Amino acid sequence: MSSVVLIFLLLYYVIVVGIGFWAVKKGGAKDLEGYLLGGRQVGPLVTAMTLQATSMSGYMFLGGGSAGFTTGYWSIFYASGDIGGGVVNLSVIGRRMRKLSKILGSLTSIEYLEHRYPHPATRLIAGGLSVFFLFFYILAQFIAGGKGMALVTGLPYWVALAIAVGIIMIYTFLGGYFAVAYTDFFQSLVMVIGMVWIFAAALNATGGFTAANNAIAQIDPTYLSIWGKGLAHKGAWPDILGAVLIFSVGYMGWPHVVTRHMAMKSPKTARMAGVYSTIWNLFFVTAPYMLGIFAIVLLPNLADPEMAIFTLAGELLPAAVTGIVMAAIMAAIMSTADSILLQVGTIASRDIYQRFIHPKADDKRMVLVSRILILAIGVIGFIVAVVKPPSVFAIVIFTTSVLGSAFLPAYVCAVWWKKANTPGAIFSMIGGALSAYLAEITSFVLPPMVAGVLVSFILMIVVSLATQKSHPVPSYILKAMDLTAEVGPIPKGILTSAEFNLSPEAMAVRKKLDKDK
Amino acid sequence: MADQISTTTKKIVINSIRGFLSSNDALTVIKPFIENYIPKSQKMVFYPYYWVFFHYTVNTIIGKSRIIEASCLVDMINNIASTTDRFEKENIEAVSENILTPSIPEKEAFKSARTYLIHASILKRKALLVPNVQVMQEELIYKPFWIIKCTNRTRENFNVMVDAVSGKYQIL
Repeated sequence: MSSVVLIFLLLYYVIVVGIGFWAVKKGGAKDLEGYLLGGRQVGPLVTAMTLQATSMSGYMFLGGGSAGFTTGYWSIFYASGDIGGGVVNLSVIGRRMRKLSKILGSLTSIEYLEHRYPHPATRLIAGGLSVFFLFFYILAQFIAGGKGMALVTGLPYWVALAIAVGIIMIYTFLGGYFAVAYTDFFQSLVMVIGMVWIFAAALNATGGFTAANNAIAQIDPTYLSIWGKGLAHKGAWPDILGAVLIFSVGYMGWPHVVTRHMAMKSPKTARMAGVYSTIWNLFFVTAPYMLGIFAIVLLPNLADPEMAIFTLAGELLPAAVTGIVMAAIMAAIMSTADSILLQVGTIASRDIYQRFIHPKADDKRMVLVSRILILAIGVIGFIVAVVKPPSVFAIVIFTTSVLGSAFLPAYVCAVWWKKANTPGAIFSMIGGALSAYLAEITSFVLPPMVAGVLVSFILMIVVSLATQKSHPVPSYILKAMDLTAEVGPIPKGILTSAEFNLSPEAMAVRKKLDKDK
Repeated sequence: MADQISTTTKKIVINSIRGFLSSNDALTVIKPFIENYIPKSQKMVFYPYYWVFFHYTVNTIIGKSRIIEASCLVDMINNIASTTDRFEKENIEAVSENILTPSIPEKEAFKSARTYLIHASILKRKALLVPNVQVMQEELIYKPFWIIKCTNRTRENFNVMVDAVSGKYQIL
C-alpha cells in the first residue's frame, strides 16, 4: 500500500480519537441515548444510512467478497437469505416473538427462552451454546481486522493481528465513551460513500454488467451459473436451501436494549426511514458479493480471495480516499467485534454467572466476569488466528449454521405451537447444534444448516408430544401466546403497525377494562 | 400520589406525563389502518410507572468522563424497565376508576431501574465500564393512554390503546 494511503488512514484515526478524547471530557453526548442533534431529530435518510453502516462487519468485507470471487453468482443465494432475514424479522413471526418477549418481561433473548421454556437448564444450554459459538464469530472479526491491517500497513500478519485485537479489546472496554454520534455519523458517511464509489468504479472498470459477465464467461462460464463454479452445486437443492436459510433465520438470539417511551415521531418519517432502510439494505447486502464477482475479472491473480474488496479499493480509488475508506472499514470491523464481545460478556455474566454461580453478584462483579471472559477470548482468539486462521467466510457460515439450527425451532415454536414445552426445547437445541456440527465435520450429504434445522424440529415435535402430560406448558404462557396471536376481525393494517413494546401495558389495561365491565 | 380527593366525584390529582395528543389526534393516528371500522374515543386511562432520573460518570483511562444523564421508566404492573426520552410533567385530576393501580413496591421498581441503567449503559454506549450512579430524582408517575373502540357495520369491534405522548398504539 502506498504511503499516501497510510497517511490518510492515520489522519482519520487521529481525528476520530481526538474527537473521542474531547467527547469523554467535554463535548460528548449528555445523555445515555447519545443522539446527534439533541434528540431524534435526524431525518429518515440519515437514520437509515447510519443503521445500515453499523451493521457492516468483517464478514461483509472479507467473507462476502471471497464468496463472490470463489463461487461466482452462486454466492447471491447467501445475499438473498440476508435480505430475506430482514423480511422475516419484520414479518408476523418477528413481531410475535418480540411481543411475547415483552409480555414475559425478558431483558435478553436467553432470558426470553427460559421464560418461555421454564427451567434453569434452558438458560444454561442456550447461554452456553451462544457463548461458545459466538466466539467463532468474534474470531472472524479478529482475522478480518488483522488481514485488513496487514494489507494497509504492510506489517506482518501476526503483528497486524496483534494491533487489531488490541484495538478491539481497548474499544470494548472503553469505546462507547470515545465514540460519539458525530464520529458514528462521519464513519457511516465515509463507508457508504466508499462502498458506492468502489462499486461504481468496479462497474466502470469492467465496462458494465454485460461486459463483466461476458469477460467472466471467457474465464469460466460456470461462474455465471446458479449452481456455482464448476457446477459444484448442480441439482443440490438442499445446498441452496442451506445457503438461503443461513442468514434468513440464522441471526436469531441477540440481546437487545430498547427505549420504549419515545417522543412523537411523525408516521411519515418512520415510514420513509423504513423505505430508505430497505433500499440501502438491498444494495449493501448484495454489493460485497458483486464486488467479489467483479474481482474475478479485475483481479484474476488475486492470491487471497478474502482480500478482494480491500484490493479493489486500493486499485480503483484515489490513494487518499483509499486510506480514509480503509480506516472506516476497519472501524466497522472493530465496532462489530466490540458489539458481539459485549453481548457474549452479558450472556456469560448475567445468564450464566449470576443465574447459576453467584445469584447475589452485584453489577461490579458481573462486569468483572465479563472482562475476564472477554480477555480470555482475546488471548485464545489471537492464538487461533495466528496458528491456524480459518477463512472468515467458513467461520461465519459454520457459526450461523449451528446457532440457527439450535435456536430456530425454539423461537418459532415459542409463539406458534402451544404444545412446545421445555423438554422439547432442550432436546431440540442440543440436537440441532450437534447435528449441524457433525454435518459440518463429516461433510454430510445435507448442508449443516439443513441437517441441523431438520433434526432440531423433529426433536422439538417428538419430545414435546411425548412429554405433554409430564411437562405441560404453564397456563400463564398459553395466555401470553394468545395475546400475541392475531384475533379476527382486526384489520391487518393495524396489527402490523401496532407497537409491540406496548404489549405488557396492553395486557394490564385489557385486564382492568374486563374487570370494570 | 393522591394530593387531594374531591368529595363530590371520585377524582384524584396525580402526577402525570404530559400527553400531547388530543382525543381527535388519537383517532387520526389509527384511522388509516382500520379499514371500514369507525373509531370512537372512549376514555383516557393512566398507567403507573416509576420514574428514576440518574446522573452518572465512568472512569476511563484519561480520567472521569463528563456527567451523563439517563432517564428510566419502570412499568409498575409488569416490572419492566426501559429508558425514556425527556418528558414534561403535570398535575392533573383524573377519575379514580381510570387510574391503574401499581402492583410492585417502589423499592423493587427502583432496583429494576438501576439494574436496567447499568445494562443499557454497557450495551448502548458499548463499553465495559460500570457507571458511578447518582439518583437525581425518583417518583411515581402516570402516563396517559386513549382507549378507542373501533366498530364496523356488522357490529364487530375491537379496542385500541393509543399512547398520548408518542402516538404509538397497541390492540387490546
